Amino acid sequence: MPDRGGTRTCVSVGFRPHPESGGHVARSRGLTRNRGIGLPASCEVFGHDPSLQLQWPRGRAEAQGRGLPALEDRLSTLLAPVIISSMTMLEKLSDTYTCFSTASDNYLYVLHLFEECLFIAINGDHTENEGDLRRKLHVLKYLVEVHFGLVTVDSQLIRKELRPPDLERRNQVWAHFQSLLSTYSRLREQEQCFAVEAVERLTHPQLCELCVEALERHVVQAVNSSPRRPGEEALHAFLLVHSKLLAFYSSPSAGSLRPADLLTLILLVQNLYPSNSVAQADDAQPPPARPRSSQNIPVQQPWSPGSTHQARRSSTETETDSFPEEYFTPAPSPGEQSSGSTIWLEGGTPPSDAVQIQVGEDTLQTLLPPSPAASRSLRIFLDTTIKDSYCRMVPHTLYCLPLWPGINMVLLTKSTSNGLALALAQLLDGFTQLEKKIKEGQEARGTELRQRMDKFVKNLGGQEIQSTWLEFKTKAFSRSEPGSCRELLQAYRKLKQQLCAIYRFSFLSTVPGQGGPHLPQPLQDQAQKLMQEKLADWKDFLLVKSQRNITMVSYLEDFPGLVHFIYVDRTTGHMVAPSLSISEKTSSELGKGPLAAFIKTKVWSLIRLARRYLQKGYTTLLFREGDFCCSYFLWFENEMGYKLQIIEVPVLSDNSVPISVLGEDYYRKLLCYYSKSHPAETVRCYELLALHLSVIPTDVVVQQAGELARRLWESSRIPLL
Amino acid sequence: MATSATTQTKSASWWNYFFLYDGSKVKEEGDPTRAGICYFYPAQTLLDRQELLCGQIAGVVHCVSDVSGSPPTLIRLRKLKFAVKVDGDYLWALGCAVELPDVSCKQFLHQLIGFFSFYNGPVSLAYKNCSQEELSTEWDTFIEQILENTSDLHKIFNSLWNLDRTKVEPLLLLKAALILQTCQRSPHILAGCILYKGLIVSTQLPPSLTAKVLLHRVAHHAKRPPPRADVLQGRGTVLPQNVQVMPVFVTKQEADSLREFPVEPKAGSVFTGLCLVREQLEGQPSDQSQHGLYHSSLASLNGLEVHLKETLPKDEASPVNRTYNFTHYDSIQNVLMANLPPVATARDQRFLQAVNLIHSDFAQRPALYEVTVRNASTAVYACCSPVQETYFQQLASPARSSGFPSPQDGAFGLSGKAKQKLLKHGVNLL
Repeated sequence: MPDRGGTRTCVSVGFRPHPESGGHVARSRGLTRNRGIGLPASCEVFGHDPSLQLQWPRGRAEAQGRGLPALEDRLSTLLAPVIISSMTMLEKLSDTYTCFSTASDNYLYVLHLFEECLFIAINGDHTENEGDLRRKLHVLKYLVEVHFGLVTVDSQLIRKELRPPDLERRNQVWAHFQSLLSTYSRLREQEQCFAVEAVERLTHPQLCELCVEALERHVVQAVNSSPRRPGEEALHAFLLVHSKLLAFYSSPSAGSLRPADLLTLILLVQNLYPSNSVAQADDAQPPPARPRSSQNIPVQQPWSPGSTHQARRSSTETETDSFPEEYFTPAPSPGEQSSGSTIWLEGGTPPSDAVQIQVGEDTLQTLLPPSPAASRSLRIFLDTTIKDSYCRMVPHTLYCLPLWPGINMVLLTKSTSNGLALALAQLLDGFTQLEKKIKEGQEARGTELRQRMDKFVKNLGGQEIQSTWLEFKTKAFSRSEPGSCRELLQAYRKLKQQLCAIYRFSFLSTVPGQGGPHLPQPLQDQAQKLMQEKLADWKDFLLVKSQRNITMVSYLEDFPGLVHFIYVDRTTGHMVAPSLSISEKTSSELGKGPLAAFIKTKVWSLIRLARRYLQKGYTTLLFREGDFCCSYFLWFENEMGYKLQIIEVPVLSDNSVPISVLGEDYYRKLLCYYSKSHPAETVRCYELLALHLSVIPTDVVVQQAGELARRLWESSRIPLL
Repeated sequence: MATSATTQTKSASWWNYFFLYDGSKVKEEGDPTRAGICYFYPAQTLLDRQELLCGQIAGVVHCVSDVSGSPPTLIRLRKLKFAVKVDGDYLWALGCAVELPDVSCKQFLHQLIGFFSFYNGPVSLAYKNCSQEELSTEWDTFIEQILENTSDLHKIFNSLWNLDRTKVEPLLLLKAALILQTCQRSPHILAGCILYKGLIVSTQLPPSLTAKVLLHRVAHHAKRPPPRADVLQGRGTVLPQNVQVMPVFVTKQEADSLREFPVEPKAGSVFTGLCLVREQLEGQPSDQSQHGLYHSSLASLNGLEVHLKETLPKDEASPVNRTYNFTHYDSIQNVLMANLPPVATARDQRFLQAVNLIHSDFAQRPALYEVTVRNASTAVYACCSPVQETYFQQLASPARSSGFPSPQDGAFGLSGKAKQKLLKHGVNLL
């Protein structure tokens, strides 16, 4: 029996056995009794603690004539019956498993079915509760979407992406997601901003202004006005000191970046350039970047970069070569040349059109040795608003340019011709709604969708998609020969798969630097070098500042008995909290080491409990535990700061999406929900979490919380903080 | 395969399924799942559904045991949750509505298995000695009893059904305790309890045993004599009418709490029930002492009953002009005091929902001792100590509030109100 003392968490994804795959019938330990089941479900294991120890039924390994198989393989085999059973239950009972726990919750299994993918997280050391594990699964699912975009819509295609037949590639994919999940876990456990899922800004108005200006002129404008810009438009640029935001600039033509997406970008950057929260002010060496294998997920190339044209011609998968890009390219926005704006800050300095970086025609760029502070890029898919219409999973490219260890510049670009992505997203959305109607037995009309698809297919000109579309049209829209619901759904699935395949072919096979759009290295180097020069004098200060962004000292006098607080503006997705430094090198007012660590566990526990009660519809929570009085408040205000009447917030079940921002932004939904009853005004949502000594009476605790919220609100109103 | 039960128990929306599955009967390839089903509630469930649930749950239990080294105690689905217990080849599962707290679901299963084993012995022994039909009737009766006697609050606390002591003359409680003490002086009597209309008046038994005895009153009333009772009765003279002697099976822990002897209770079914637990020593004639005990305590019990009848309010409905809800839970005695009406209004439901959440946090966080929660329609205050938990809600409509921290907010004055209002219920929070 292995010692299971140190069991931590593992996350795995299983797929619904494909009914059409046929083949042999699996019988697993009574689960499939008397029932034929398709192929045994496959299972991926993403991210597990090395200390994870699991039972391996005695005899099996020996019977296979070799030693213990790898944990991933063992888990796949062990969990297969659960995956099969959950699908059986879904089919026969219209219900499926969401959670298992063993005695004293020693082991906790959380299961979540996303479409046809079953995600399973297992914890065996009480460090994570059901909400934590469920949140992790949603984050993983979201990260998969960020990496594969609309390919996730089709279970067969996404399965191929997550489980490529080539072992080496599969290992790379798994290693990448393992790395992302462990980065996420580390940040959630260590950083307050990730614990509450809001962005924390470094509070230094002058420096912020300086940086915003530099980002605007020397990064975004420089890129967008460069003649060498190969079909890419810089949308957002920002500076990070560890996981804290120093400055942010958005191009005037860019849509706004949602709080959840900014947080995701920070997570991706932290994964590319892991920065230890311990100040490393004297270490000026750039950090060793993660090995390439875990950075970009290599996607199988249907052609080699050198023979693009030829391969395209012979490609049988889809015929995108004849696809006219211009057709989908939106007309240039008249506001494109207008003055700049920043997302976070009111009154940012307007850009000067005159400033342009001259990028040398350096033909030797490709021969330059990779610098130690090499920048990295990543193809990602983000929801965005283009011309007032909401678009799902639009391809973007993330460039991360490390300045010094712990300090990174990030640039987010999108292709100047996003027409194909937008068209596919709209069509897939339309078909998803149509599918719903078909399933509900309603008449499938969708005249607009039909016309759009007709036009799309005509422009695309591929034979396969044409015949599939024709087949679907006959079944769905023809009055003379109405197809059965089952046939219709089958035809729909085929159509959906082909649309996803076009999407995959167009955006996943052209990763940056491998045939896809890529900002020229000199342009990146120039921006990186310029920002390094600008911040050279500030570097050490910033690294220290990031550890002591806000200190409790300034609050102690006015708020006696207050130990800690976190204030979150959920509308902007920003948070303010005193630094909680628990490292040995730095110390806060709370001292260092054990005491600070103790306070930290209290704060994390307050966050957890507050979210639990919010999930159950409670917007105010005050509790006394041990030596502390903890309080949590959620409220709404209008733009002027007038406090709005509280409403009943939805009571969610334990297996619903947990209160979170990454993945599915609960607060965004809550704001929409509230705004319905206040259509006339802009509604803002705030949260305050406070930790007091328990000797402080309740009325004083509440009075201080109110005073604190007022003060923080006022300071957040000052431009540039 | 489970046979349909003679009694069709009334189904409750929160109690969906219960089954006992014997995995040893389904070992070979050709063994049908139905062969392993010893009992299934509700009996009218289609056999296909019975096999589906038993087969799938048993399979998942097996799989989780493989991975984790121990079986799951809870399996939750989207609309249903199963508390699970495994003993060798036997598997019990109780399927409840998801709204029922996890911990309560597990406790109900524990309680149900406890009842069964108390009266029938370990499951393997019971199924060896009795027919499946007989035992199915037993399960039916126990389930029926639990369903009939479980109020909304009992779903949260799984507490015993006790008299509201604030409504009973303290002298009567003293008298009841004295009767029990007198009985205890008789040889071999270990402990006893006095019940009135299914509620506890006084008990010397540990809570788990009291619960099992409480259930006995109806479960075994006007039914076949329990196994072996006739053997005992046939040993000597006939027992007085209304007196029943019944062998029962107690757990090691319960036995320890009753001075480490195997015991048998003796129940005197007068209107006011007296139940005594007596140690069973081999070859000892007992009827003599039983007779003596019966006659000596009968008069006192009758007196007690008359007084209880007079003092207890007939209509147990709460006053119409309730201005607050409260629940006070004695976690040592496992008894509950509350002023909730039998049928909960929407506001009472909000109270119960908060109590439900906070109760499980009190259970999980030993250092937690005071909680106030508030939503748009209500605020609930709760506090706890190692021996009790108290919950309080004001019924007046809450003043319009924004949720922004304000000392004027009524939610934060609830602790003071609770301290003041609950004194008259004998709850001292000061």
